[in-house]
Amino acid sequence: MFSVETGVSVDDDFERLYRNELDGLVRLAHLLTGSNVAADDIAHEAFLKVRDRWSSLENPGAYLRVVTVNLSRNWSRSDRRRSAREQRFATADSDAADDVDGHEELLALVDHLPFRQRAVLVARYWLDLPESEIAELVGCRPGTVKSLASRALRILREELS
Amino acid sequence: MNDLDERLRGAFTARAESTTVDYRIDVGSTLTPSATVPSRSWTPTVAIAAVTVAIMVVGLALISRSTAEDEAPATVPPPASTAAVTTPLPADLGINPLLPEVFPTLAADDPRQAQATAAYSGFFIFASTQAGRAIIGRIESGRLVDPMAVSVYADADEIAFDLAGDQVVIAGTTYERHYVGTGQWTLVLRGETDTVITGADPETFVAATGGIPVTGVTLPPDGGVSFSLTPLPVGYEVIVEPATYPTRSPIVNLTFGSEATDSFGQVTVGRLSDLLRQATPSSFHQVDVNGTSGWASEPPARTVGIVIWRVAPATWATTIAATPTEALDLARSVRFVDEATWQATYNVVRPESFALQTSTD
Repeated sequence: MFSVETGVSVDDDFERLYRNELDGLVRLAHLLTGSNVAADDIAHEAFLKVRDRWSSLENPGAYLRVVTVNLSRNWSRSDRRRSAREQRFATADSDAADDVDGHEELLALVDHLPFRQRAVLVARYWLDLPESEIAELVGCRPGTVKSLASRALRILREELS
Repeated sequence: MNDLDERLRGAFTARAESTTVDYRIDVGSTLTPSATVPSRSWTPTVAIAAVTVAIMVVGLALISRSTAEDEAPATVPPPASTAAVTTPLPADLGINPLLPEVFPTLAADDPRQAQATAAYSGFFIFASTQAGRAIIGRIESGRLVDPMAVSVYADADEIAFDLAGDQVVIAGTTYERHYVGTGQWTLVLRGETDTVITGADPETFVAATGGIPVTGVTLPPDGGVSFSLTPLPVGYEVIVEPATYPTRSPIVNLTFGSEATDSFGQVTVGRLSDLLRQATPSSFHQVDVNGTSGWASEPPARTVGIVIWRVAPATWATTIAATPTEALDLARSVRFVDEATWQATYNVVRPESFALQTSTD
């Protein structure tokens, strides 16, 4: 005999959140990982996690974004350990269907930054978040946001020159 | 705004615009209807401790469960708990290696057995497998004193804190310091790998020992983080040995009664020692569970009792009951069997979704 434990029902709000937020989340994860394929998986996994905690979340949208950053971080780190990023870097991203005319070199350099530096740049230049919100998103102090950004930009300038 | 700022904005916008988004309609609709978040009414009481590591126990969307009352088998095999430890490892039997090595049951003549409900109840979830974790502490007059969780993360980026921290210099080394709630502090030593210690006063411990007592950190190619503990100061012991825990390790449980009564109880069995979640903010003392050393909580008044003990080489059990005495009594009453026997006893079927949870990555 089977039964399902009683619990909190997930109603149409979840479906609405999914429709409204998926696009932005996949794009965010794509920017953080450099992989569109991984980004799709990460965004959907983030929704699964939100579903699991639906009843306790006051701001599911914000939680989704934090989860996406964390999952992207995990992916980037495990990917790095497999040296896949090195290979991708060398082969100009075989995964990507990126149509990023003129930006390939810069994006490749960004993909090669340590994750937190990359995340700070994405949060600053694409999400346009203030430092306090970047700190929450990345999981560091506001002061660290400045130093991470500064280090990232210095590396990029050096590499580009 | 300088040129690099502009170039970054342009590059990010270009990549974002090139992103293809797969609206997995099937996934969306799968997410919604299975739409129950299982709730255990006493979970809030029990979950006082989940602060030091990113561990959550979450329910499955699909939970199969059955009561012994529903379709009770004719007999309930009551193997001795000591025999359970010698049960072949699931991996040896070709079974999902993340499942518990043994499963809980009660003796056939135990009056609670008739009401007992068994279930594959969810997963232990760590934020990632990229960490090894251990518990150290002192044992004084049978009580666990100054317990501390020691973790090594493969990457600093794995660690996120709700509250901003500061920096402290201890014995010439700079650590990040974060308050993580319930009187617990965490010190983080950044490096190629990141070493973390959490407890009521890790600073004093680290100052006395000259550092976090970790050595031999390796990152096995198949995942996880391995490390050893250096000799601990006099009086300190290893309470839970260093191990990497899988991100999604199924847990199973056996429940009887309800919280509304004084007779409720639950046995949870899984690959994770609940001490990793409970030890640092709670008080525990040693107890004997049929010849095995276990840990019993010392709860404040009107909260449940908890007993935690190891039941197989990589499997731990936790009992929860209305009082510490009842939790210990339940721990001593539990018998452990293999999965097939457990399934037959309680008419439980492993959810299909568990078949997916075979990787520790």
